Amino acid sequence: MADEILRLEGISKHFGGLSALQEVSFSVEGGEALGLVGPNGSGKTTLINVVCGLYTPNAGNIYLEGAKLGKTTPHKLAKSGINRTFQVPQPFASLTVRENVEIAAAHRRGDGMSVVEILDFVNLGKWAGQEAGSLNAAQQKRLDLGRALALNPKVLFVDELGAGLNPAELAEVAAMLRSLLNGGRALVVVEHLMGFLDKLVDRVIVLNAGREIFHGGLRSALDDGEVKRVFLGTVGA
Amino acid sequence: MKIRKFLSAALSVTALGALAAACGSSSSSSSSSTTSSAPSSITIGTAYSGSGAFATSSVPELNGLKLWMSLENAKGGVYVGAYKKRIPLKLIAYNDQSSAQTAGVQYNQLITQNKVNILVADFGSVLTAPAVSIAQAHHQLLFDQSGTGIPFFTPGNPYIVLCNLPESSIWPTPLAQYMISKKITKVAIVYGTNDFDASQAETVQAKLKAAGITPVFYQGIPTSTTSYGTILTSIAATHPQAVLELGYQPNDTAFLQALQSSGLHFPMVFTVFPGQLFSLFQQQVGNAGLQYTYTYATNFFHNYTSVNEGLNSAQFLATLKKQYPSSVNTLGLLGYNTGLVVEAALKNATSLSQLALRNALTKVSGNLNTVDGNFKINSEGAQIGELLPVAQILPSGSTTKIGIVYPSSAANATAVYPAPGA
Amino acid sequence: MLDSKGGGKPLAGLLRRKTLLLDLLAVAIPVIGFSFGLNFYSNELLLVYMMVYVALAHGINISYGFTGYLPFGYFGFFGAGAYGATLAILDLHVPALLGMLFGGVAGVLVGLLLLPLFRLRGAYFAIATLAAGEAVADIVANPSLQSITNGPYGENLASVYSSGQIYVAALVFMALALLAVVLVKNSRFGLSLRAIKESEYSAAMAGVNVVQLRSLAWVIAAAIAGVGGAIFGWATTVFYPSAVFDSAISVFAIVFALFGGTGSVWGPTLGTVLLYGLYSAVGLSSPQYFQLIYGLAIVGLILFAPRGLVGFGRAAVRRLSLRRAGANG
Repeated sequence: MADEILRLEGISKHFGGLSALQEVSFSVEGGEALGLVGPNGSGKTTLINVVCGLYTPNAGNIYLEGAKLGKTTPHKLAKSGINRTFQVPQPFASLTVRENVEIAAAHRRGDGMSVVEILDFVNLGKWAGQEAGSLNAAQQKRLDLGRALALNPKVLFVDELGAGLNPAELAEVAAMLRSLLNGGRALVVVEHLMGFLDKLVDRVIVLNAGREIFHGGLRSALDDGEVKRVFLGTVGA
Repeated sequence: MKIRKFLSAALSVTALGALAAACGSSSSSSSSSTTSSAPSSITIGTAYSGSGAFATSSVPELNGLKLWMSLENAKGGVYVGAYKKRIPLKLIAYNDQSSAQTAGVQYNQLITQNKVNILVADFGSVLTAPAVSIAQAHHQLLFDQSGTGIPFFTPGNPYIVLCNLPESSIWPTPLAQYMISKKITKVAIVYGTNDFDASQAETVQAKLKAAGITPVFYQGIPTSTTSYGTILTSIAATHPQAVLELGYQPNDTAFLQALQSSGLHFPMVFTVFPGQLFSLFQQQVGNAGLQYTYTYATNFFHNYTSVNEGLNSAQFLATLKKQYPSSVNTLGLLGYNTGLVVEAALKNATSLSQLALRNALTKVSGNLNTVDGNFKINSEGAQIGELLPVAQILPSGSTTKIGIVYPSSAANATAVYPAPGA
Repeated sequence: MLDSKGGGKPLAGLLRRKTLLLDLLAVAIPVIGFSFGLNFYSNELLLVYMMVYVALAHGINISYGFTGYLPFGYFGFFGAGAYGATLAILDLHVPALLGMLFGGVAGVLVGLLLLPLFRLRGAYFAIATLAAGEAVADIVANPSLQSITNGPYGENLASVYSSGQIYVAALVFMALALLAVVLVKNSRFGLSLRAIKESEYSAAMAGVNVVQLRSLAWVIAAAIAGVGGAIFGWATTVFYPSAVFDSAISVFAIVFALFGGTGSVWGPTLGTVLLYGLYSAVGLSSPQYFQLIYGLAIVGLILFAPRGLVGFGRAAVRRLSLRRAGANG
């Protein structure tokens, strides 16, 4: 039986009068990939920001490997094993690709892939000495991933890594991500592309306007009435 | 390993550099040369503020000095006793833009690069301060024009002479005595936290306390203050009979303007600079805002008919008006007087060495009478004995004029106390 | 610079050693230059001020160039250093050279006091430091503190004046500031600082303890300003609070650093030597429109050349190497 890596209970977040997340709860186990889907503005990135320390939740608790996380700083979260990529890549633009990963690797607790191995894994070895700012968007997303991996995270949030990729590239990335599940790591994959998700996850959570409206297998999600209404509108039953 | 290697390389470079610097730097003096044959010109070096907070005072002071130079050069130069002949004067004047740091570098330049014969300071304590130690270190006599700060004059330093004004701490003695004589018991004092104004404030407070009077308001504010509304309200709440605002020209102007627009009225108001830059204040504050306020009566308002050096008051004012009409004020007089002090030094010195100049001034001290009164210095080079009488700005027809009201030995007008008005 | 196809460790190591050597040259050449400067130009006060400004510009380099925090109130540490050193020398009878270290400590103390300002960002931080600097100035100049700081009456260090010692102190100080920048630049600490400047949150998610590291950079910058102020006070000898607590000092240091190019060892040094040299040279003639020109230069710099002279240099080199690569490919 795989261990539970991350659990959210009743997480709520509002900004002024705007409620971005309402009592979201789920858990994810080691070796599991969980999909997180929903229309734009449904709160997916906000959820990642809350778990990864950028925002403090207004209510609810987060548990990492069973231990409750109190108010803490992003860098401590990163060192304890929670990490993420960004929807809009956030490389350290003036540093080289290698330096981007090196910084993270230096803060890792315990063993993990070497910098060269990480760069090869995310297919950026050829550009190791180049300034990160000069990479294209897809490459910068892979750099985000490499940087997050350098800290050997127990749970990794992947935010729309597939955007803008052609089918061949998507298959490659899906395989890359699947291989990360070996060794007990958990993945939470935010995506719009159902085909891509299908290759990767078994379970999904569907959010709408900050609320969880479905939790279950991806196939069942696509059959669910409310999910269909939320994504396609009330076209017809 | 790498770090250690480069650290040791770096430290040896630094050590080498330090060694070279120690050999190269000169801590020796650079006194002006005293060759046996006369120099072709006598160079005067100075710094002035062409812009910034001190410009309104510094530019007329420089013009006064330039006036003296042009009068001497018209006679073929200044008379140098060591060579028994007149030698033409040259001027090197750097613009320090009211910055003490820039002035410091420029004073150093004048001494080490330009090698001037005569070093003259810029206006005021703030801009004179950097010159004091540079002059002392390089054994150059500093002709201090209006830098009246107390820390400048120390025993054992012969390289400074205060040419024109008394030390700022003794300025307000007549002012304090005037208030005591008028039986004023409630005095409010606001002053800029700088040497010049703080020393005056302390003196007034001390003299009043000696007479059993404690100021009802006594506060130091930053020298850069230009908004006096709140302070005036606080002062008014203490119901003072006399209000003293001790600042530089920009402070005084701002204070008087604020007082006018506040509608407040006090029986006596005193500020420092109207006496030194009267026409400027008439422009900026206006006669209505100035009248019945008090200020220091500088020697500019004293008519010296007999002098033993330079022009007398009437002649000087006429000449100044013709050559530098915008500098007809106390500062113009101070600059001119600096020239007269330089003249006296050159006339009586046995050589052009800086110490010889200083000894010459020690010799004439007490016997030099000019449009600025009697020149008398103590052993540290500070002026003593000259006190500044109290003046009041009185209506005169459609305009105003300055009348000296205290002490009676110097007075040429009668004080109007309390000042009329609602 | 484009990497070759290998992209492996040995080449990276070589590149790093070359960068390190170039950086060390950027220390050695100014130090040697100023060591022999007096043989060519005897206005030693100007040279001492210039060396102090080189160091100050590098303090800004560390605080802003590397970490992204621009302190307009930098003069607050400078003035604190001048007074800290003076109090140590006059009251504690510490020898003047040792007093310079007390100046550094005073700068650090004020820096620690101002750490809460890091809750602010960007322009707010910059202006808050300006207000803090003015506050320190007013406290020191206040007559109530006269028994300690001599309040508005200024300080007089004539008793410990020694132009030789002052010059060497300034030289060693400048060398140490330059070395500090080389160390920062070639270390993981410097890499992390640059990451913080690019994106604080991403740096944190890369494991960087943002608060700790930026505070350390801040304290180093404050120490540099503190010692700089101490040496400045010693060289000026008689000074009032307004001479050492002058916002123009911050502006100069910032402009020199930006003009030369932050993030490098050469940049702030070049910027200082050129601009302060120019300022002094022009000041020795008649600077009518100088402040206007200086102001326009700052605006122009920030708008069009945020990476300064060194940035131009690097861009030119890059363009050249790209052209060469294009010609070969």
